[in-house]
Amino acid sequence: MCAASRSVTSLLPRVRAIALLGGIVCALWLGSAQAVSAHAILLHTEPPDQCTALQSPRLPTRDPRCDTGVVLASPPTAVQLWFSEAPQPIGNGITVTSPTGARVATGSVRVEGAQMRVPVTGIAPDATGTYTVTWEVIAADTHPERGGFAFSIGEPSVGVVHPDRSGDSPLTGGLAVASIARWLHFLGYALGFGPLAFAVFVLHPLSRATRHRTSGKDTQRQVRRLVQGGIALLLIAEPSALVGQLLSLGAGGGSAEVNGRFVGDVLASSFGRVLAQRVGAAVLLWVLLGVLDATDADTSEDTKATTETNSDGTSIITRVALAVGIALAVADGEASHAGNNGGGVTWLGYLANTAHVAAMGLWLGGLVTLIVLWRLLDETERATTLRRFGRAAGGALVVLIVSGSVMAVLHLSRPADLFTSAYGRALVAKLMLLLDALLLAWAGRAGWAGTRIRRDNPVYRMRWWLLEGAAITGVLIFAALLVSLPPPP
Amino acid sequence: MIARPSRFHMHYAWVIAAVTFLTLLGASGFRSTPGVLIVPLQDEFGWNRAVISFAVSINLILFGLSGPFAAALMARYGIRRVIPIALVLVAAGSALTTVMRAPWQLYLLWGVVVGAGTGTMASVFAATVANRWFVKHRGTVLGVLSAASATGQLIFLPLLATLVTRAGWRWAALAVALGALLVAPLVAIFMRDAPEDVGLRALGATEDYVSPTVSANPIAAAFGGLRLGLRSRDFWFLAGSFFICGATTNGLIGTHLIPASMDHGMTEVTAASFLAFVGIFDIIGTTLSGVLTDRFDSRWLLCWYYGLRGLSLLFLPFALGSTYLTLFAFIVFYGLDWVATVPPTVALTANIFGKANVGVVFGWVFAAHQFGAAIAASAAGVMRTWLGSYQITFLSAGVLCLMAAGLVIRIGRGTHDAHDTRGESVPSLSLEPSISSAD
Repeated sequence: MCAASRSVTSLLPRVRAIALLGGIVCALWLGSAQAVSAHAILLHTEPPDQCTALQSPRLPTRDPRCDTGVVLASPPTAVQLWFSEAPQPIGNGITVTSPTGARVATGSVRVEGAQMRVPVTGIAPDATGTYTVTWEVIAADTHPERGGFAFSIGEPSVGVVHPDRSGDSPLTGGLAVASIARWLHFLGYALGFGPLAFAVFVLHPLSRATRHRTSGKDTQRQVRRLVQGGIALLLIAEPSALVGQLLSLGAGGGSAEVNGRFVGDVLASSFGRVLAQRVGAAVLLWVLLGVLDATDADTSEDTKATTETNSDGTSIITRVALAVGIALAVADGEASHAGNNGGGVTWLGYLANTAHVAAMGLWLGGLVTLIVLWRLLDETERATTLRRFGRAAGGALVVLIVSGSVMAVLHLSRPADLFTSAYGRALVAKLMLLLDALLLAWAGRAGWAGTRIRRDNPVYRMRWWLLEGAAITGVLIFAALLVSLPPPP
Repeated sequence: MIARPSRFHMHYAWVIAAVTFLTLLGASGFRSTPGVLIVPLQDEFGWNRAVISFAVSINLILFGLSGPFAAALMARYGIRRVIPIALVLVAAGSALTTVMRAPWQLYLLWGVVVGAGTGTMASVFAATVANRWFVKHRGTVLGVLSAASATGQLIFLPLLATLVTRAGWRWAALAVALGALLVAPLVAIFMRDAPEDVGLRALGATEDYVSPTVSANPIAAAFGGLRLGLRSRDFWFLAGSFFICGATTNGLIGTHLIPASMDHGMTEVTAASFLAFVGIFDIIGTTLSGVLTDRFDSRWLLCWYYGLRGLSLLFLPFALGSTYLTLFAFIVFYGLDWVATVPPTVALTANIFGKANVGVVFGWVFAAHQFGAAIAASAAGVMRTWLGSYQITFLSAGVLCLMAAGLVIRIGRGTHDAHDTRGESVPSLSLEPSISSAD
């Protein structure tokens, strides 16, 4: 009783420090995040597009009239689009092309609220034929959207092919690159912050419990090496995300000038802001790693005695680094669908997304750290480490399931979406793989608790862990795909 | 022999200090003018920001690089001749802009003439005066002169902006020319090259005090210091972090905060006043930083300064888009951090390269500062022209500052010990490092 209350009291200042720092960083980050409401969904157009998902009455997608659009008597003065939120035009924003391939909307695109409009000039009053409209925007949640429709004046042209149709999300090169970039980002996140969390929640209580740490310096070096690898992955992931974004918007097809304009617009958009925040967080982690090294050097100058212990678990710097990790998880929410729910419970979306990403980092990063450090630990340390990590991973799993369920409820409007939309199918695949990872985790644990022969065979245990790690990495592929896909409307 | 100092019951060194103060305040004020001219020049001539920023870049580079050459000139011809000529140059350069027609004339006048002219009246000038005239109070004098130099370029901005708005930019340029012409005769009348010229010793000097002289060819000394620095990993870290410092103060905020605020609908005078506040908080920040440098490890201080500066830059695009209060919070914060990086950087340079080499090595670290400023001034202009907004520029600058924080904390932790270079010596210019340098 007494011992318990003492350990709780000794924990309190630390918990408070983490809570405070995390709170400040989150508040700053959230404060800077502008109102993120939803994916920019095209609601309505003028001239009317009869084939968008939300148009009523709507023509079937394969209807030939979709290729030529409504037939107008005289040329329109402007093309207007209404979205579900304020869009940010990219490139030309709206392009209107005449039957001969000439651009007829040459004015500048104006955005007023959720409406985007471009004046149409250069159509002769007596002109006839089918005109195509294509548009490209970035939504507040950084996701690129493009689409198109057609309208005809007087009489439709013959043999026109319908332009890109809004709402369709084929598995394009852009989506693939964006997903790979996000996957690298998640891996980097796990490796960058997971090992530090491992040092705080598993290694640090361990060193207090066992009181002899012959391997302190070695474990510390390994932990920091893993973090460096994580930073490198994060820094590779962000430029790749930019490439993915550009490909999704169809950059690369036009002239150098058009492509330059694309890069500029994308960087100046909400996507550019989140990109900078992510790179900033990775660099900040690198700074803190340097600070950890500097603290070691300064301490070892002061006292020779402390040099043999792993100080990462006790250092306030490690906690600041974990707070940066939380902040990065919040920033990730800006670029996924955290605020993307019609109900207006934006904070819940953010909270769930942040908890989800952080718990993932703890589980995967911790598992990798465990595998790397295993041979450095002696028999008693191994037993304690396993017990503590098992507890931490179990906690992370509960958080993952709860936050994941919350997000699923927020993003899917009806259960059928799970099987009918690309988003839902990716979610189901992810869940299957997660079950797989859990099975492997259970098998690894059973191996530890099983027969004596198995328990003494480190190769046996290690094999299960590696499989578990591979399964979680696979789960991440689907998670990366999920945040890159639009949720069903 | 002309002025008998005893009659005034005051050492003539104080008169020299006052004249120097006035000159430095003016010189930095003259330098700051391009910030308020960007938008009016754009409006009148239709030149884009990239074109105008390029002139600022030339100005910033020459301001940084003219130091060693100015030192050589002052050693050869004397302060009393060099400074008035520099002032007349500034006046001519500024006045002639009122009749310019093409961008190359802006490059020549604001870039080359005003840049080189004001560069002559910068850190080297302050350090030379303090070293020749003061033994006692040398640190204080240097501190006050530094404040004059760093703050002067910000506090005149509201006045210049008012002139631009009320009377047109040509009047602002003429005001600068007039200011320079007014200071020139004061310097010619009251300035003396050395205490010996008026039959005095430096203030606080004893009988056996030997006044500092330039012991070697200053140009050779400068390149000796560069050779010494280039071989050290820590020099690259210091120069790299100071490059980022220059890029994010003079280059980016000093040049582009006013046009960026105007992009967000602020009036020019309000925007200039915000920048003037940076100058006021800068005095507090730099003084505090000097005190902190005496007590704490400079690497830790710099890590904090750059880290916080980086975070505040990441925050700036949101501050610009919101209320004045948030922008003011940014201004206070940024002002405190403006040249606060200088005292710890000087201290680190002295620790790593030894007292004998600090002046000349710091000179090169400072050159990196000005290169950073020049590149940032141009790059921000190009990015603005290309993207139509400053968002990504401010955000990248924030990330750069975080990198600087990571660099400085790693100084002195390299494989080969930096202490190796302490023993080496290069012909010294015998100049104290001046904290005015990073204005």
